Amino acid sequence: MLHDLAFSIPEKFAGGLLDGSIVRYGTLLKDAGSGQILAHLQETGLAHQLLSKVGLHSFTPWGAVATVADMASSGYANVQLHQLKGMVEAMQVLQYANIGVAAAGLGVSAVGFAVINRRLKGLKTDIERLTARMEHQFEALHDTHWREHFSRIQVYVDRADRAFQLAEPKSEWLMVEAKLNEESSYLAHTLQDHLDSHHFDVEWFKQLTSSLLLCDSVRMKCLVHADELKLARSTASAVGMSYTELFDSVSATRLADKMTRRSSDINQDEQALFRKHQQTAQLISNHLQEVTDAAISKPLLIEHLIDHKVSGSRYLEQIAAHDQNPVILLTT
Amino acid sequence: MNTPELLAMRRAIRTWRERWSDKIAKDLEASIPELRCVLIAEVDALKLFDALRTKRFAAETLQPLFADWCQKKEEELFTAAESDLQNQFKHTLAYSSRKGSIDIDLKKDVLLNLAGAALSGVATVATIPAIAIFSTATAGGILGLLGLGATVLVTKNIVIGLVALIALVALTQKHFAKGMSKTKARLREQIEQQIQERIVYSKKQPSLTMLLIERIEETAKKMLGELDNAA
Repeated sequence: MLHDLAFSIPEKFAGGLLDGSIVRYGTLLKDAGSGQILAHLQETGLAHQLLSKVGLHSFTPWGAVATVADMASSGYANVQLHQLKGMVEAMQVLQYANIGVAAAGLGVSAVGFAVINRRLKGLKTDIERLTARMEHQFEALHDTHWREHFSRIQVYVDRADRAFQLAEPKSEWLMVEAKLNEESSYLAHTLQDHLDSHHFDVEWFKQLTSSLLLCDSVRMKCLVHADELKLARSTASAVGMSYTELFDSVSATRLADKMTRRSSDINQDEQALFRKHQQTAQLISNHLQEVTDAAISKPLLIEHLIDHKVSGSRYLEQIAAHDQNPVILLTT
Repeated sequence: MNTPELLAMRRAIRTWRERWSDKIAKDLEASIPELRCVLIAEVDALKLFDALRTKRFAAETLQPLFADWCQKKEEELFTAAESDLQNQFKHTLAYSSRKGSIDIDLKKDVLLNLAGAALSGVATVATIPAIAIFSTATAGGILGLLGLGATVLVTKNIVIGLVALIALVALTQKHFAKGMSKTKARLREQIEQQIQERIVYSKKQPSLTMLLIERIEETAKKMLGELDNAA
């Protein structure tokens, strides 16, 4: 049963965000004067529909989004174009530089388990291709069992999806969450190892990070579906802390250095190459920080649901069905 | 400290880190002409004695100037970065309740002390490899200065002693000037390359820009860690 839940659109806060009287921290909008939380950002099912339809890398923070003009020239239907334009504008209002972040964990994931599994399959293929390339350079990767882990993740997500057919799906969702917690931990450790190594492969890192985000997103979704909101809140806190530990250590300068050392581009001088890699590394660092902030602020959204005695499954139904705006705000 | 305050402080630290990573790179690059002028002035005033021993000239004349310049830049940039951090915190969390303000002020002090200690630690400049000038500029010794090829050295008849060479210098003023000019040109070229590598970036060794930015990043990382421990 939903009690006292009010949604609004980002444009409502545009003036305040622009003049600085409202500040966004992670997925929170706060009154800069009183410090009061005004709203929690929440993605809707529409965000994913839009990003998938235009063929962008949805569900990742890396959405190197082509301009709306590019899409227009590619012949996308006007209605989609209009909605996508709206999404870009909404993200600009919220002062996000990259709309990919919208699909990487603003609130509770609004994507279905089956859709997430399709995305995981794509990631697995990409990682397989990249790892084959990297194995020549990184001997350590021979020892990783990421394929097995990926297969397990896909099985668990599939089970989460099929749990809807069960008479009592709650225990299944809780089991899936516990199993995915182990897989998430494996992915985080693999990422940490890669960050600690002397080499850095941008694409491989991106795909693995996307997998981690998806895995954690499914965990949260399982707990919310199971109406275990208190557990969801503590899980969200743990995920936020894990991202903090993992991504705070990412140094754009070191990444750029590693990328330059690894580069085989002999046409550019070292200094120019380093500067170019610095820009890429800075974008990666910024995106990771956005993801971390979104994760840190997520427990407050769950807390809001608990305080308002909101049923997790009803909340998910509502945001998944929302077809007007890709990002909405749960006002307090 | 609650989550919104934590996020505000995290943002303040990250904004500081990004601003100073960018500022350090730009400032040092913009200051390169100043360093170049200092070093090139020494090369322009190069004496015959130094031209014969460029490695020593680099170690005794150029390196101290280079090291002083780096140290001065490090102090200047870190002092400004620390002061900026203070201002950054001043503007953070202006909305806090009274109780919250005390808590946050205490935290700010801890973080500022931590930043101060981290930035005023061992001078980064000490870890920058010294300027290395290759002796190829004077590979031919005095003969090289005179514009005679190194192969001449193997001709016994020509190498008959220092006195003969000095006489040769006197006799070939034109060649001598040309040789000095070539040596200076090579030195200038090497200095230019060394400045780019030592100040901007090089795969071979850490540059001043890299080292200073790493100090800023390390400091920010420590502060973020401290903040998360307190959360």
